[in-house]
Amino acid sequence: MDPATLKAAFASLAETGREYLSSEGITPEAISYERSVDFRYHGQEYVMTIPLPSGTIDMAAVRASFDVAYERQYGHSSPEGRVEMANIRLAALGRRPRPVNAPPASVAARPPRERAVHFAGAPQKTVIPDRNGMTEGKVVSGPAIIEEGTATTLLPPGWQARLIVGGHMSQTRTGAAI
Amino acid sequence: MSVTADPITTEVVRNFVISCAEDMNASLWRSAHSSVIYGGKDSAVALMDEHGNMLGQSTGVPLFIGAIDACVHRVKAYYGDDIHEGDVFIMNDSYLQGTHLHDVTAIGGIFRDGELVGFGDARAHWGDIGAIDPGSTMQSTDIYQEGLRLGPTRIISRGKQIREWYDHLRLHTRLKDATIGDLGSQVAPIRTGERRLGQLLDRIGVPVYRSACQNIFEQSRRMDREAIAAIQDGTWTRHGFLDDDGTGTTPIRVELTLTIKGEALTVDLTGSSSPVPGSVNCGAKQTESLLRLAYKTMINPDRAITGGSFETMTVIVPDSCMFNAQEPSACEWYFTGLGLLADLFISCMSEAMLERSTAAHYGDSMVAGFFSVDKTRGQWIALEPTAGGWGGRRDSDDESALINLVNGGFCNIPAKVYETKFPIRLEEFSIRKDSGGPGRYRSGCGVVRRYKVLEPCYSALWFERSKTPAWGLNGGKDGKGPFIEITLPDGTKEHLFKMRAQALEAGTIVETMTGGGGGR
Repeated sequence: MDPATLKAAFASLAETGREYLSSEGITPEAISYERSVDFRYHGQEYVMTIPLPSGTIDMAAVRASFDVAYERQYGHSSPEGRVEMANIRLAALGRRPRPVNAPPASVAARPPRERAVHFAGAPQKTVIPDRNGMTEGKVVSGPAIIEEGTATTLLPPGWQARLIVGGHMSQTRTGAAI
Repeated sequence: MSVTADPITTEVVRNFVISCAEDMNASLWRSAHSSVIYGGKDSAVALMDEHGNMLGQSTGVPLFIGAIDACVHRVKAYYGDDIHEGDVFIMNDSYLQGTHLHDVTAIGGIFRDGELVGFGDARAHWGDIGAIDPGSTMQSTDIYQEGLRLGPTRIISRGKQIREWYDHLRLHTRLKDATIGDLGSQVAPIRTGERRLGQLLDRIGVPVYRSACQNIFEQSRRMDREAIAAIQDGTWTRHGFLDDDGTGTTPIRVELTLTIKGEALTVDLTGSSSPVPGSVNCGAKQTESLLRLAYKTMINPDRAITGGSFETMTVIVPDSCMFNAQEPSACEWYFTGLGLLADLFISCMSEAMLERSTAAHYGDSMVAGFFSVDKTRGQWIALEPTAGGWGGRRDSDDESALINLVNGGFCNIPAKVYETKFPIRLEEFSIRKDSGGPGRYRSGCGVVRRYKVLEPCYSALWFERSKTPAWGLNGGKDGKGPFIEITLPDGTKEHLFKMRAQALEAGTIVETMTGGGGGR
């Protein structure tokens, strides 16, 4: 294929992507593009997607990188075989500023419970707190089972959990693991 | 001190080898050049230990899998210690490996630090192997008319293709590059198996792996022995007839006797026809493979085949029998008798295991082919099996429009592929109403496929089981047999079941109907 035809096809895809992103309010300097081509040997059905470096298209280099990728995937390749391009792909990427790490809304917590849980074959008194009751800086020490609406976190003996900025939970090993 | 694998490691290895085989098959399908492999899935792969004992397998066509270990044994017997890292061998001899010459098996050793630790095998259908007709020959009377025949043959030596063999293969097939491409796609699963097994061996090492393999074989042995011991003892005999051998009109007798005694199951094919002039003869390895498959449908069907499977089964095939083909018997349509053999086996087992009893299914692959050479497409071949109806079960109706037992995942060609790649329009694909045998539990129905030929081309048909259609059980009635109608452009109609490379004018309509299963 004529590199100019390929270049024009990518330019047209890039323009479409740029329009989508602009309509979403992304500024031109925050937009970048990633190009790739789906290659196969003539007669095959399935393809391999080969990334295309930015800048001028070097068809010989792209072709060679298909042979290398094919060799890696299938254990053999045919550098003398005819290849065909089945699809060209372009991803238009718009970079957004990192969102603010807002703390979650406060929800009323159920009172903590407690029961025996077996660790390393022996029962241990284990606290079962509600995660909604954890506040930033307050430490929960294992053994504990931290409950919340969408997850249950097992904190083994020798571990500590605390909330950090944004309401995330951080766990640290403080003693010997079991 | 010897190393042993604990039960958990054994279970991890057992599941790993199965997923490894699936990866191997995916690499075959995804790199294939011919639609019969990537679309039709006319293939099978296996991961074996260094002795050729089965570990993991993945199939399009399950009929292949019980004979694939024979290829490793043949390569080892022929090459001995002269098997090296990076070598690939191929073979297709119908008497050594079963099947027809189209099915070429690629075999390669898997090495770890210079030590042989296993084999990867990949069998796939080559669209053309240089026979008297393009694609499948219809009326061959000896194997020399059926194409290039290879015993174990090294084609890649220590990673390097042996150029003269590749040139030789290319000269012997009408499909040229596509065939060489398909051969490449058969190397891929061997390399994939090597890479994936290497990842496991990085974690557990060779001694633990070998111990786990022995545990897996032992599990299979034990489960098979227990399953056979639980079945009532007895002897049962069944027979049926193939329509003909492809050259004449004489029905061909197929007979099977099953004996179960304690932990031993014996299948004896005495009473089946002697070798026939046509091409429905089958190598003994493939016959055994079919019986292994039929056995597996009844005994521990949800457990993968391993090197410990089938030790409970003895197969007796007389020396002079169509199911023990010897040079120079023709084998192109070797599978014709196998669907019937599977039905006869299951029929006998239905007496022994009432809880699994099942009536007969429509039986054969029912192959429809169209081909020609033209300027835009070059040599083209569209070849497909056709689905049909399965027999009623003890407690439920059975499936309509399902491929026959020996073919498993083998698929017909989708209408869109016919219409974009070939000058054929698929005008109808429907359930053939009321073709299944009636009974308390209904059997499945066959299908109707109507092809319109848009440009002059050739067609070949191979339909079977009109004389012994799927039989019913327990008072259930037989299913309908197949039916074919060819309507020429002038309106003339022809009815037949087998047709060799017949030239068709544009506008000809070929309508095929497959049989239903037996009722129960």
